[in-house]
Amino acid sequence: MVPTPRHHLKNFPATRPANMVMKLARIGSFHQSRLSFMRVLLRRLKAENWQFRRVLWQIDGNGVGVATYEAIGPVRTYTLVAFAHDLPAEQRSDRVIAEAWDATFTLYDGVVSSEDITRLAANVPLQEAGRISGNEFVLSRANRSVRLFDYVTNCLAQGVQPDVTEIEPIGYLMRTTAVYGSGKFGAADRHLWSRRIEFAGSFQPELLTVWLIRTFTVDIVEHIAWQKSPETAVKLDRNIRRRIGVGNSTGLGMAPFLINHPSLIHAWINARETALARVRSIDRATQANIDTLMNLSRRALINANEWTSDSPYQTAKTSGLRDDLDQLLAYLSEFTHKTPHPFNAIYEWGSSNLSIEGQEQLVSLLLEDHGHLIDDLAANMSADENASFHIDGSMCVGKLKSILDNSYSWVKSIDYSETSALARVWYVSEEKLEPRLGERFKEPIEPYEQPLAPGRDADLLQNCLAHWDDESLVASFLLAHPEHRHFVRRAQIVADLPYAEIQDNTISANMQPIDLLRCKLSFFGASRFDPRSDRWLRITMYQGSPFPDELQSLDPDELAYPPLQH
Amino acid sequence: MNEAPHVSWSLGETCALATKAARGAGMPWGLAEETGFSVSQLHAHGLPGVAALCRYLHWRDTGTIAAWPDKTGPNQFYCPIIIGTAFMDGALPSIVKIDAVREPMLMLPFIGKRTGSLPLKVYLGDLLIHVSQNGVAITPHKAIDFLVASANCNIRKSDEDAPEITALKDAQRVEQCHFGCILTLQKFAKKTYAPATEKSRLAGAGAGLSDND
Repeated sequence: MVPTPRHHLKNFPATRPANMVMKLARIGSFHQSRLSFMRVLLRRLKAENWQFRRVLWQIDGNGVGVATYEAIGPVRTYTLVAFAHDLPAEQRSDRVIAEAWDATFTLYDGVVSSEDITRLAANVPLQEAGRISGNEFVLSRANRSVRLFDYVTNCLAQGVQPDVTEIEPIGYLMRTTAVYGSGKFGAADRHLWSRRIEFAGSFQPELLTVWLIRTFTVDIVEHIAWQKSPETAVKLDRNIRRRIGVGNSTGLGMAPFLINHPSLIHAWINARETALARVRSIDRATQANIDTLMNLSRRALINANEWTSDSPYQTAKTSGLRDDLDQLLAYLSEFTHKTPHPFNAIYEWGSSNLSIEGQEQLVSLLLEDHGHLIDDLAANMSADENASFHIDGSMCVGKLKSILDNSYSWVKSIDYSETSALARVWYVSEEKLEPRLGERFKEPIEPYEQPLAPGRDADLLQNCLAHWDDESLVASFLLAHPEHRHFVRRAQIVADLPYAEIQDNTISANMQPIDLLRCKLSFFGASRFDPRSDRWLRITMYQGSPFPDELQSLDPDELAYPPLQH
Repeated sequence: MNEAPHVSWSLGETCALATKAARGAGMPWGLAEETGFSVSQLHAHGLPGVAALCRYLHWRDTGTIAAWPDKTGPNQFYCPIIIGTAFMDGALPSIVKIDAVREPMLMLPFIGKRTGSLPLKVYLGDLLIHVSQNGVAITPHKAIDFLVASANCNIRKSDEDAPEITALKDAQRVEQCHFGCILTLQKFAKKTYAPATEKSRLAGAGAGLSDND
């Protein structure tokens, strides 16, 4: 990392306005950055010199059995317990309605005992149909990549390394189809571990689990290869191994999260926007700084070039991104580092010349080389949602009206008398208790509607409040109108948190639910997004990152983009 | 679901289940969210919130709820969630007597959240409970004593003899003995789920492309 010679932190320029940032099209174009949670996790594990060891490996020749991996930190130890199964190909499905998987996992709080393994063996393979306990933090499962798992196994069994060009477009041997935490299916409540320093931020136990799963996926491929042909089998070359991440299939189950957790979303996006503002405020750069940004842009272009998708929506965006990165490289090659506030100038150029997809890639690239300025923000990327749950009934109706006028002014541009503005319904299916998106005027699902349309609900509340005096108390209003209680709570939470609300109609006919998924996954640290429809997508996590046995010798942040010689 | 030994539920999933059950029983979303808060808070204090909610939602299926400040009729009762939140919000006086609240245990967590008026003494019928900023003092009563079908509730200022209430450090879990109540709440929660059809299964979740490659 090239040190930045001088910088001001004078809040120049200010963070980007919420009415620009909080649009579905923009949050659906976010890219991973050094504030993404996977990267925050690996930085901490490296800085604190965590140790990792495979403790148990009872996997038979068919790849069936149990394995455990310990992550040993300065204070506590966590154990990934992995169950490997023999799944008939016809049962392999990423859908949440699946009932069996190639492998199932839990993250145990401490060193796991054989009694606990027995208990977990009776429950973890059942996933939603089983129960875990307060000793477990995460429940997960994964399926093999049919395209890559057997290919890599066969190569290794024959004593040859797999071709990187086969690995790169897929990027994983197994993909997780769910990673449950925070008290789900009996797991420990989040507040029981949220104050542990190693889990500061968001989704750290879940992402520790996924990172350890990645090692298991390689171990089991090497194990099966060896079982097939002990005389010839070889282990994966480390450089090739690093190009293998963990896939993830994500559907609509994740989409409501961004709407249901406004204060948390504000914390995430506020950190990212504050980081951008800090970098834009740097008043001078060296040529070395600009060279570093160019190198990063070239590596981002490699990533974009290897980013494949059958989705017309994403294909168009990725194509635009490649053009954008070409343009950016041409611009940077002519850019003089003596320009005042150079990174602001580059950002401003991007705003005028790049697609939204390219603009948001540029934001991530601008943050990349300034860890010393921005990494501290990661600690603030969480929220105490209990603290903001309770409604202030002593607030005057006039104040509530003014909150709605300020925070929901964007609602005025939506005409809710149009059927297209109300076309969709978020509901939960009886089948697997997962969120789905239906057509209000074509299916009998309106009675089951979930409260995931803040714009529409703000409109309804404003219309109702219009009949109330400003001096009345919110408490009195809610006693008369309990049907607005959920939204009054939301308005009071959102009032002081500009990035808490997506300023778009989440039930309109032309809404792209995939944008919600991508926003969240970019904060996780996903590097490529492969929409399989407008409602579910695949991603790769940790591709390029160090494995546990090389964390001390490699810098995970240096590996966040593909290498140039790749 | 397995009925294996050591099964217990986290407070988070219990809160989510209670919220859905209350919604399934017909409560508006905002009050359903408050129900989830109430039930999980009661269990954090060792009180059987899921049992109270289970009983209340059963009764609510056939009973008639009175709207404040209507005089309750012979078969009418106040909803503990509506009354509890109205007290918490400040829509009711801080010193108040309310006749015939159904499953009044469910309103206790809200009383402790009213700012500026704590500590309080709360009479649920003959049961005296002290409420402070830190929560609810259960002793000398047993948890089961709080399972009261209905009671007249009398909220008064506390005197100097109010016991010190220590804030909880670690939340408890919902234990195996509540399995039956959990199943009942799941039945109410189910009313919030749309029956699946093959069309909605494919369209709603966006399948159609291979997920086995």
